Amino acid sequence: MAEPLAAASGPGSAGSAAGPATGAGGAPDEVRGLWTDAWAVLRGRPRFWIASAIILVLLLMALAPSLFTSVDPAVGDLARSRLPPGADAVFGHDLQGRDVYARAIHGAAPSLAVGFLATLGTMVVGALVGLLAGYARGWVDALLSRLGEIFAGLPFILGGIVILTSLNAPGELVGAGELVFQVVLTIVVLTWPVAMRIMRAAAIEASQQDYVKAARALGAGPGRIVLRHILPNTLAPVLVYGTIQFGVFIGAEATLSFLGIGLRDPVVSWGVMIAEAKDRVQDMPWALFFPAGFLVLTVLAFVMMGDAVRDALDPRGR
Amino acid sequence: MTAHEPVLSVRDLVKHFPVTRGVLWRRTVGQVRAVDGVSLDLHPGETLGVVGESGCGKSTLAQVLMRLIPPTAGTATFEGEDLFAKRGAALKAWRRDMQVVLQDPYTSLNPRRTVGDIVGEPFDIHPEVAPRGDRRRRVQELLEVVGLNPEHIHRYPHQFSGGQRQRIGIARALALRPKVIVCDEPVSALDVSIQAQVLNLLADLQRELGLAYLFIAHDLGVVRHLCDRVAVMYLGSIVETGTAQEIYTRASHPYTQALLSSVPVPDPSVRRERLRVSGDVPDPADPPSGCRFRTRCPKAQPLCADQGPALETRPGTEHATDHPTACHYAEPPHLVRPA
Amino acid sequence: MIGVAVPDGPAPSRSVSRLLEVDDLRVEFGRGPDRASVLNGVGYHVDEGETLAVLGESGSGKSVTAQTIMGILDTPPGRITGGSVRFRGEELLGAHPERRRLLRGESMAMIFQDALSALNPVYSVGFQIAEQFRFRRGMSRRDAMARAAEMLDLVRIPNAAQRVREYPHQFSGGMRQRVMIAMALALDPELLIADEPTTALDVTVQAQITELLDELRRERGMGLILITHDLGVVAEVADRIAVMYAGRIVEHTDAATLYARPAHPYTRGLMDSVPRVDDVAGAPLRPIPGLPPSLTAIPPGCPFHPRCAYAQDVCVEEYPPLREVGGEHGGHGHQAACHFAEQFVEEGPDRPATQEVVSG
Repeated sequence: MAEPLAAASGPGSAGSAAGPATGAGGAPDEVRGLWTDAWAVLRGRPRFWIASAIILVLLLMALAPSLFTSVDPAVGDLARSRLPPGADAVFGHDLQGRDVYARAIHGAAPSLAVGFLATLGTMVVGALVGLLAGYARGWVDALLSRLGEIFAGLPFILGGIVILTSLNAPGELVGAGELVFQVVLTIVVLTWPVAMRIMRAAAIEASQQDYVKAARALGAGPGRIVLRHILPNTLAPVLVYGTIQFGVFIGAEATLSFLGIGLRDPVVSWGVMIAEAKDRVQDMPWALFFPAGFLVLTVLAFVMMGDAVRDALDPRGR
Repeated sequence: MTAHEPVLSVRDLVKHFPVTRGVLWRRTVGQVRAVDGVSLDLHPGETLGVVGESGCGKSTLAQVLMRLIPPTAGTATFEGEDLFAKRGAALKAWRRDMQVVLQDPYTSLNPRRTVGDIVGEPFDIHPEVAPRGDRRRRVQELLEVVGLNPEHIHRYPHQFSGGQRQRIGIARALALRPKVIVCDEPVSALDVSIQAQVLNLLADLQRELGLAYLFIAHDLGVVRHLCDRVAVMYLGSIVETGTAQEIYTRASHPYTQALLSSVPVPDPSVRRERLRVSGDVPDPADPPSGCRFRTRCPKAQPLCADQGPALETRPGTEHATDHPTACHYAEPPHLVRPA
Repeated sequence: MIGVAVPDGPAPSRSVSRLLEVDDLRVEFGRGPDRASVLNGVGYHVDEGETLAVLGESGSGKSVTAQTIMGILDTPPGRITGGSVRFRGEELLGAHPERRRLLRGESMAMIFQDALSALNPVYSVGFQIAEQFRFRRGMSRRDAMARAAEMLDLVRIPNAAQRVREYPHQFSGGMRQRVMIAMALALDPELLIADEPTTALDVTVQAQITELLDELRRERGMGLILITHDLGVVAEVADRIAVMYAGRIVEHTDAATLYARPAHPYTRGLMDSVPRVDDVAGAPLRPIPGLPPSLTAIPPGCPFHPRCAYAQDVCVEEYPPLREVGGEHGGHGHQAACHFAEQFVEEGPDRPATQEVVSG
């Protein structure tokens, strides 16, 4: 049983052992995994560093806003209402005389929190359902796909209104944490089908590949196949979708806040600020532009990051 | 078990795929008869070639025998035991004895795993075969056996050429020391000069390890080189079977003869008569009655539409052959002297 | 398009200019460390009514050459860095794009390996063929469809008049290939380039298509360039064969000579490594060791030397140009790119005697 196999003889084997593997260097190999390889690629991309820098700054803003401003964002001095940007307030003041800069800094946390949690939620739910549907096929797929279609058919705004007003009667005072959770829940419930479809399509394609057949022929069970063969090959499209959706969800939060059912005072987020400022663009454009600018910057950073990560994870084998 | 007992024995294997209509309620309106009554025997250490063009059912046959898709009817035994009855642990244990090498070197390896992981996966799934500490050594040994550099254990499939990827696939199939390997067109996707390397490798491995191969191909030249016996398939059934010598020098079924004469011989000084086959392969969901080949056969007679010819030698008749042939008018060819 | 002013080509020279002549063609892909020398001085020619087979494996540059001739090479990332392509004496490289477009279809046509992706799935087969008659010849829709049916008949598709309205997916692989041939021949080109036309087809269908191409060439007096990696197909129909390796021609001669007296070790290696139906069973194949070189790092001297059993020092130092093979058995237009071509040619057929071959 432990008898070693003799190496195949003949010119063919010697020749191909000596032949260089295409594209790779001749240096001896260090231990390399998919993630170390990906990191090596990422390191070399300026896009990654720029995006990382921006995201890091944003994170810092969210976690320690006092590093950026000492002004209380909730305090409004009506005497300063609608003052343009000046020496003491770089972004000016809004209608209630609050420092726009301070509000924008403090707005990072709820905006990022909603973006992050909503993205995480939709990806996890969508991916799980999509994996199941795509690998199992048959009636499981039929059932889950119909379920997804039903949810996809719900209009976002109407659905948002229904969910959020059911959870909170209008006028009711709700804490910041709870509000964020509710907004995240709403977004996840209404948008998970998109992630599910992406994952399902990727899972179907991966299931048909020969390497899955080979794994089954070896006796691998469905758990092993899904975890080791299907999932790694389907992560990339879902990941890219996730990074783009991050920004979209921050925008979705803004929409809900705009309608008065999402985040609201005393919670400050970029969505809330945009909602407040939209009617008075002529008067105080800075109250709109700066939070919008933060939003755009954030979305850009995540999309760039997503791009770089996807490139790095792709073993360029296709 | 003596050397004369087949290690794999198949009788009247049938695989039909239903053709459905409708979206919400699917009605079955027909059957694609991919494999329609195939019987064969594979003996230890021998190579049985299964040859046919696209649509003949040979790949489906391979998948059914590898228990990747369930059969519709028929039996198969492996070392005397009912193959389709195996379940659970017994099924998993059997997988160590029979493995597969697939056709496409670009999709048969998981692009996100290293070569070491890929070749080592059989040991992960069947930990009883190799103790944990020993696995890496075994994987490197396997890479060496198939002619690859064992130092490349951490590389990814995309860093290898097509021929090298096939070798990786072969290494993976060898890991559990199987008795039978089903080779599903293993060299069809490779360049000519690389095909020869891989074929030689397969031949060497067979000699050293006593493997039996079920070698599926559409290329008659390749099959000739490796195979002891050959079965020719057309539209789901075997139309002729015999030793390589019998098939290549005394082919008696018109389809086999047509196949042989269609394969171009790389030597313009050899002149051959061409047995013409007209038309296209019929729809496998609606095959012709009687003999399936009759719609393209230059010899077709009314009897061919009425009665499907059995795969046999017809001893004592004017169409007797020395190996089983499914044709009412079987006739070994005339020899043609080269110019 | 009818009515669009298109610059005329130069007046055809009265001297004997070949139908197609390719001279020292050089093409590169990519930049910097990834720069690949895909074609390194390729030259061949085709005359009317003859079949030139271009034989090579993947990476040899045979398809890129064809695309450059037709003018359909993607020019980023590809770059033509030298050489000339002359059709009846007219230089094509650098010619006005409109002129090249005119020549495509009218004078030169190409068919590809995968007919399914070359045909538009949303239009009927007849429509796609008829398109050419409508736009280039100004025919009415009905006349054009009638001509399309005639073309389908020409390529021996049964029931052409009915099938002309069907869609590509309703045809089998071999039939689709015939449709593609019909499309290519619609405007009666003088040169047809077939890029691996039978590779994706079943053996019995391959034989039908190869024969069809041969017959059509004879009937119409076309020049046919047949690009393939299949030695067997080439033996059946080629008048002359050009063998390509690593972006250059390494041997060029008529078919009989190539098989009987190959002068280049790569050619010999190819022939020895192909399993044949009429071989002695069980004889081991003699493969060429190693792999074709990466085109970003072509070995110095002769590009084949790392895999050549006969390589000497001179092979590493000096690049062997494509030249006429001398010696007693050489000459007669037999060219090879090897320092020792004369020796190989002398050795002659080194293979087992041809077996008795069976037929139906």
